[in-house]
Amino acid sequence: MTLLDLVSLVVVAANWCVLAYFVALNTSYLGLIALAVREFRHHLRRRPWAGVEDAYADPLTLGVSVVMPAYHEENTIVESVRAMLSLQHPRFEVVVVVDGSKDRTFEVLAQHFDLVEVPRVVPGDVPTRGAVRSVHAPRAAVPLVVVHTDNGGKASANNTGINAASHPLVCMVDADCVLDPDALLAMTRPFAEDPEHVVAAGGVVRAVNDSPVTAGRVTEVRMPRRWLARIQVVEYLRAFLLGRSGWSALGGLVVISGAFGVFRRDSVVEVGGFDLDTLGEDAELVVRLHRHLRTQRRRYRLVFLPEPVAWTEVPETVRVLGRQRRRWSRGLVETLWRHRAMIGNPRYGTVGMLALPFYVLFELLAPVVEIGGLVALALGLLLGAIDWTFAVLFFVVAVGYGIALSLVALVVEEFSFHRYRGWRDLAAALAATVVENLGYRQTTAWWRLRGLLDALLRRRAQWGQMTRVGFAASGPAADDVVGPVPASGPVLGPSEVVGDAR
Amino acid sequence: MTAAPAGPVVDRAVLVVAVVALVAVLLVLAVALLSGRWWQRRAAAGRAQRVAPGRPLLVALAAGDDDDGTLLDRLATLPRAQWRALEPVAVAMLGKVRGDARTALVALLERRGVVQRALRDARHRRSTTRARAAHLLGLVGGPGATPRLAALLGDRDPEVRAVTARSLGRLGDPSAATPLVRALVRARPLPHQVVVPALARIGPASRTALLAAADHHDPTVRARVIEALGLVGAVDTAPRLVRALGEDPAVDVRLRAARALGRLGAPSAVGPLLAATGPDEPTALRVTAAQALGVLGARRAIPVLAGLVADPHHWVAHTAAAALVAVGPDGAAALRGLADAAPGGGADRPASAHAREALAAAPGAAAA
Amino acid sequence: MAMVLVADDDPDIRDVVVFKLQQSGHDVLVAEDGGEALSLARRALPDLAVLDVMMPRFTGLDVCRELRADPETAGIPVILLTARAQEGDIESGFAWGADDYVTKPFSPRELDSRVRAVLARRR
Repeated sequence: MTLLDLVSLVVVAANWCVLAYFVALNTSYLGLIALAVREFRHHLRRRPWAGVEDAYADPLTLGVSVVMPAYHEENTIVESVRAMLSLQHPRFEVVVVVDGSKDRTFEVLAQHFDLVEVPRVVPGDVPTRGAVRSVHAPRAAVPLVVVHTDNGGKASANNTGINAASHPLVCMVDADCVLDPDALLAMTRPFAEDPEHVVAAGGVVRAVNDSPVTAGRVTEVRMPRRWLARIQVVEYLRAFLLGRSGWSALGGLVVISGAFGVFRRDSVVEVGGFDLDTLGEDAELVVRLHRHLRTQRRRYRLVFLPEPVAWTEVPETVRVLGRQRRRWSRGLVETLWRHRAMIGNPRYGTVGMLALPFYVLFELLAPVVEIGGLVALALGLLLGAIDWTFAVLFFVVAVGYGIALSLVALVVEEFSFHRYRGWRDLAAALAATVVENLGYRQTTAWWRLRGLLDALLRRRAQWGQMTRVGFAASGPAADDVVGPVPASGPVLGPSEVVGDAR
Repeated sequence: MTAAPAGPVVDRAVLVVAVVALVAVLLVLAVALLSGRWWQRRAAAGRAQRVAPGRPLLVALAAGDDDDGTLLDRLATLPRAQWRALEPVAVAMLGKVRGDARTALVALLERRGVVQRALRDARHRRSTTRARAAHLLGLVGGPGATPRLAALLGDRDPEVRAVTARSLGRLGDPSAATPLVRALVRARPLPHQVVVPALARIGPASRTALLAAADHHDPTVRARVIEALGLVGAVDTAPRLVRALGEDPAVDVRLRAARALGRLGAPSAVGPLLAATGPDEPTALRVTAAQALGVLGARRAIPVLAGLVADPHHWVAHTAAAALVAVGPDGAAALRGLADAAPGGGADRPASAHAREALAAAPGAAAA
Repeated sequence: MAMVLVADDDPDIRDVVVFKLQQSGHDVLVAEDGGEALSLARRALPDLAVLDVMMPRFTGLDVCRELRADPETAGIPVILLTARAQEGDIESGFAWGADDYVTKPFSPRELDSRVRAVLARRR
């Protein structure tokens, strides 16, 4: 056996492994979709009598503070805040944190809403980096608070908003999101239905590019004109709507998008708020919540709602998208690394045994395998270890399953929420499923790989610091976590102790 | 070059089969997608078409324009297909109007047999059907609705139970109190946020049933019952709540007793609530008690609350200051004293900062 | 009779209100959201506006405030439609110069008589 033979053998074996990997990945996604479908059916069936309107008239509905960090948004901020203020909810406020913007974001707000400085003691319940300069409120009785701080970054601004929040629930949203009008009512509902256990609720994020938005709401949902955005519509549908619904059904939801999620304020304070040094601070917070509550063996729930939608502009240029994916990937690595003790640890239940291993295997390693697979295929051809027809067949199978999966996602959407109504939208979506798997996925894999490398390289430089931060920095004892007193339900977060970790 | 050293023919056959299967699956999915879209569009168009003739009549009926009953007759004799499309619209409208308009809509639903069907459907095999029936009975009410709904409170489907509790609350029939309390206490209880508003609408009639459950062994149940007592406004149960505030072993029960006492406004609660703000109590209880004292409007609490404004814990101080405003002009005066005590006091004098914040949040109090 | 502007984003409520007011002989202008209500009010200067509090972007309260801020429209009486238990809305509604309010679920007849009363008061 020559060396060449040996290399060929290895290359061919690698190819088969890659194929097996893709089959496994897509099949587990298919499983998640099946679970999501069950959730959706339940959700849609109850819609006519869900009583969301009742919650509006109910004096016991828990108050919620909408926290919007704003940085360099002078052109859109007034419109965004106005849209948030027009959401339906009987007891809410909007807390805008102007994070040391160097543009006129603050001035624009001050002028439009007739802001005056108000005396306010902002507590230090969760750590922040940018010091509070001043707190402002409109002269008129509008439930708006604007906190002007030194620049401290997104996570710090989020934490400032949590500190300044005067309601027992906090809703984290991106300033550029457009929410469905009943979004707050629907998202705070799980907290009312199971007040003793629910600590967080995640919402869906969808792409709004090129859909007309008037009067602070999306009037008609259309497919974006650019292919890059179209592909992301399909991608968000599969990964965010269906994937997360599936995880929620399993009790292993570990990502609540920073663009739209509602939390119990006291639970967030208890675990120390958003981490100031992680890129994927939203995912990290949720994993930390799981870790803390599981460690204390408290019975709790995180839920994911498929319906009220936060519409967001997705990147339309390759450059911006690349940066975003690189950042996401790096954030994922940092979160998983920090909480590596949970991975495969039966003490952390579904999260430890299923969700986190899945993320390591199929999210973290996916770009490595994807790129590696392409390299192996090319190498195999080059060495003559495999011939062209074989390579093509091979590629078609790997990619075809991916396309099938995206199509399944489209079918599910069609039979559940069918937000996209036009025939042309449908045709565009169909085409997007193909393009997504031929080119887009491989390109994002490259960005994600680079994000992974970023994280690894940075890790080496900061090793000592990372281990020191660890997890021990959880906040005060549960009994001592106090905030605004809720109008009803338990005053404290989940306290029921589970006899044995499931 | 060696000829396919490690890619035997078998492998290729497997791949070919996989590709063919995939193509078939893709085609099926694409067809499902397209036909699904087509079918939904057709269904929506059909529905709109069937609603169109009846809806103006329905709007006129709801607006109370039916003195001689002709509208009702015409709606009652609409073809079945049209009515089936219109019924959800009529039910939705029922929740949005009251007075004559509601009466007219109920009469229509009765004429079309919707109410009778709902009474029957409350025993249907399918949980969706039962939930729909419970929802409708809550909107329509009438004789027989309450007992039928009370029976549904024990339904095996949690969704049906929740819809039922909400419907009972909407009807506000006192005879529903006992079954509702039972639903609160049961081993797999209904969400209290569903039951308690229902009980609150029924009011003090649910007092006895709640008191009977106030000594339940499960602290979660006790906490819910205690909270409900405050919400239904059963003032004469204040002594029981005071006992819970002072003696219950579970912190959550004590917290909710404090909040309930504030809501009830019983003067006898002031002393125990003041005691609950003491420095040795759990912080959450101190905060909740301070807030309750504000809600209660107890002038006797002013000195204690004013002292709490200087508390090192942010939320104790913050809540005490807000409570002083809530107490009334005397409380606000005390706050003004605190605010002026150290003009310009910043982080080193948090008491005055808290006082100024509370005064600014209530413009009337600052000016008085 | 009078020209009345009706703004509500719920088609059921809107249609019932419009029908009732038309039947009482008013000319009715219809808006489906706050923005539309505001521009209609400025253009047509109705004798009265019936505004739903919960509308997208411009709530009924916003519209009310904007109307009061402009001398052209400051005199237009406003009746707010609001959900039960929204005492805060009612308070701030009056603070911003609303003339009356009707709670939902609402009685069309009651709304009609309030419209008549407010119009009579303003004459």
